[in-house]
Parts: sequence; structure tokens; C-alpha cells
Amino acid sequence: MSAALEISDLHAWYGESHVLHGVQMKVEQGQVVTLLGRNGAGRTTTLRAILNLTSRRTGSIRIQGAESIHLPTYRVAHLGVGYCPEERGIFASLSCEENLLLPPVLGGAARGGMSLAEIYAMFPNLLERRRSPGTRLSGGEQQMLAVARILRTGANLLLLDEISEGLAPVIVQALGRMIRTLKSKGYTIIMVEQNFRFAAPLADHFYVMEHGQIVEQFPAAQLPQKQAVLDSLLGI
Amino acid sequence: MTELFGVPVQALFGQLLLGLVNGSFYAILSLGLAVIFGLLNIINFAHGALYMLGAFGAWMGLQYFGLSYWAMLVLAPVIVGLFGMLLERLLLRRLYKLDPLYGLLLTFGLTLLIEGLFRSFYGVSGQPYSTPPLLQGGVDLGFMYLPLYRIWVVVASVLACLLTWLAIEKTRMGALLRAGTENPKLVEAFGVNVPLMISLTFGLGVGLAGFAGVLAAPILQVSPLMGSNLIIVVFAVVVIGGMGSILGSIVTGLGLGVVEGLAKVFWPQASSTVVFIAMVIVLLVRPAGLFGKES
Repeated sequence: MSAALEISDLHAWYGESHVLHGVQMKVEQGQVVTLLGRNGAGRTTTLRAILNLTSRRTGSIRIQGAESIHLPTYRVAHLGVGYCPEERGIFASLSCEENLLLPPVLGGAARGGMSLAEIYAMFPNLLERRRSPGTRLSGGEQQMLAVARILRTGANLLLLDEISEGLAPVIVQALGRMIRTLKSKGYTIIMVEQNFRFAAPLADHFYVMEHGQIVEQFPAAQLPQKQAVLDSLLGI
Repeated sequence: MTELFGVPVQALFGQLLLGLVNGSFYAILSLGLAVIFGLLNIINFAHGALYMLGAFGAWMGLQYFGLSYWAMLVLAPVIVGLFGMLLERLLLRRLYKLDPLYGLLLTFGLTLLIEGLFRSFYGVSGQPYSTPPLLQGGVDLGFMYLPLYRIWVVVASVLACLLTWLAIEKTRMGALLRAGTENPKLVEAFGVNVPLMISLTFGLGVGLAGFAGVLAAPILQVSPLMGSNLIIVVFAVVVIGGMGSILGSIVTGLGLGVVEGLAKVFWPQASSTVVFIAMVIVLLVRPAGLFGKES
């Protein structure tokens, strides 16, 4: 079975600005990996480059074995990619349920999406707030909504950008439980996270980025040995 | 002859109806402009020229192909819509990342091209277009004479605007459009073919303009300049109504048409400027427009 995601020599630009300098990454099916690094290291850009949301990119990005470097954004999505941006992107002019139902169920390589009933079972507070305008939800509810709506599409490679950011510890714990549930269901998840304590117990593999490149990577088993390296790279 | 506010009743209600008719055109055109600006961030100065193309389409359909008004009422908007999609694909697409001013310049240039082309073939005096037999004549209500065709224009315009409003506010396609207006990249990341959606939206907006053109043909002279006479006022209507609301465009368009009509009765010297006076007042008091969303 091919890897969920295989990135080779990825370079990316925002306009004239050369932001990614040869990113190399291989994520197996069902893995949860986390992209660490300081602000500006290129973590969010890597996620965006996977979806062709940067101005230009070169290299190779294979999703479920299919080469996607030449595809427009909407076709990359149909390879089974779900994206949860850092700013969450909840639409103000739509209600909570309209937001949830907005992304179309993906064709192509994606597995069947979760039904609305299954989503509401997993996120009961979204059921309660389903008629509220999207932006009237609390931060935690908006984050749940942002993840829930990509689960409905059938995406199986989830790109989550800073989902714990700015949320109360209780909500962050709930998000952690959610990630564990998704992992048990076989989703492949790439998390960009500043909150190391949130990401560390969830990840199978760690990547550290600096200046648009991956400078360190190791499996979870090696975390104790690598702690010192992490401290120096991340300045924590 | 009875009088109301010092004006003959027949004249008052006659102008009111004319105001509603003009207001209908304002509503359809400002609706199209607002939808296009919302999603494409393009100020479509060519809207008036495309309205003119609709009217000329109706005239040419009858003149060269013997197609009736009713056939052209369906066909002309489709042709104008397709032509608009071509313009979007080939030309406008390149301008999205830039200041809206470039869209205005390009569409202004297109207007000069299109109007110039038609002027060279047909001159500036208009071509007559007769009212379709079914809608000729009118009803005498006592206090006014009600021409059938003018009522038809108001009804058809309001229907077209309401259908557009329904499509945008109540359907899933409309939800995708509204979301795409807020965050096109994210909507595309969900797997929606946003470039196609943008083309279709432009086509819809200018198709509405073409529809207004066919409605206008029996009332006004079908002239290459009919669009440019109208477009400046339509821009003022859009500014007054605000870009945010579909219903706002409709209400503002109709309302301003009526205000203009009444001005012709009570203060004729001001009738051509009253819309702009209103625009100045709105800009001073509520710059986002009466129904606009403060950003």
C-alpha cells in the first residue's frame, strides 16, 4: 500500500518569496505526525503547499500514490485531503449546520464521509448550536466545527493547523480525545502545533522545521533521547 | 380633472409607474453588479454595454431571424451570459489579484469597444422595437391609464430579482457562492471548482443585464448608447444600496426609480440629479450604503 503522503524536494514561493527549500517527508497510512518549529519556519506553508495554495511550487507531492504537483487546489482536495486552516475559516454568512454541510463529499480516492448523524454523535455541542450563525460559536465550538466539516467529506488525510491555539485546557483535552478517536478509525493526520504538550502524546512521528526545511525527524519512541535537541531547536 | 399635491392625478400615477419601470431596470442591473463585485472583486463597468447587447440581441433576433420577443427574452440573456463568461475566462481572470481599479479600467475599455462597434454599424439614433402583440394596449383605471407592457416589465423584473435572491440565499449553490465570496481559497480547498463557479456567477450577473435589455427594447430606442446613459445612475444606486445585500439592491433600485419619477413631477429640474444627491447624503451619513455590511 502506498504512503498516505510522500513529499520530495518541495520548493514553494509566495510571490517572489522563496519559502520552502526542499522539504522531504513520508507519512504512512494511519500515522499521526506533528510538524514542530518556530514561527516562520514554514510549517503552515508546507500544509498550504500540499493543497497548492502557494503562488508556485516545484518538486513532487504524492497523495495515496498519485502525483499532485500539477493539480489545481480543488483536484488535490479530491485525492482525499481535508484542510483545517489556522484561522479556522468558519463562514460568517452561514449557520453552523450550513458550514458543516458546505464542503462537498469527495469523489475519487476518498473513503465515504461520516454521515451527519455520526458527526453529531461525535460532536454533540454542534447539534445544539446548529442554527447559530457560524461566527457566534465559541472558539472551541468553531474549532470542532472546522474539523467536523472535513470529516463529513470523506477526506482521509487531515491537515490540521494549530487546532489547540487559544483554547481553554478543557477544550484542548477534548480535542486530544478527538484526535485519538480519529486515529483509531484509521485517519492519517498531519498536525502543525505550537503546543508541544498537546501534540507529543498523540504523534507517532515528529518533524522539526527551520527556514523552510525539515532539520530533524524521529519516531515517538526516540522522544526522550531527542528532548535536548528539541529544546535547542524550538527554544522551549 | 382631480389634483393631488397640486399635480394632476393622471400625471402623478403615470410618473409613479414610469418610476417603477426605471426602478426595475436599476434593481436588475445593480443586483448583477453587486453579485459580480462580491465574488470577483471586479467593478463591471461593461454592465451597461451588456444590457445594450441584450436589447440589440432582441432587435437582431427579430430583424434577421424573425424570432419573437418571447424567444429572445430567453435567448438573449443566455447569449449575453455566455459572452460574459468568455470575457471572464480570457480577460478578467488575470485581474483578480490586483486592485479593483484595473477591473474597472478593463471593463470601461470593453464598453468603449462594444459601443463603438455597434455605433459604427447602426449609428446613434435608435432602432424601433415594437411591443409584442400580447402586451399591447392597457387598462383604464380611472385615475390613471395602465399600459400592459409597463406592468409586465415591473412584474418580470421583480420576479427575476426574487428568483436570484432565492437562488443565492436559499440553495446550496448559493451557500457555496456566499462562502466563496468570503474565502474563495478555502472553498476551493474543500474540492469546489471555484474558477468555474466564478465564471458562472459572472455569466449570471451579465445574463440579468441582458434580460433587462430585452425588457427595455420596446420602451426605449434600441441604441448603442442606451447602456452608458443608464450605467452611471446604476453605479450610484449600488453605492446607495450597499454591496452587501441582495434584497438591498432590489429595494434601493425600485425606491430610487420611484424617487426619480416623483422628482420629475414635483421638481423636474432636479430629476436627473436627485439620485446623485441621495448618493452624496448616504456617503456622508452611512458610507457602507443603506443595506451594506460595515467591513
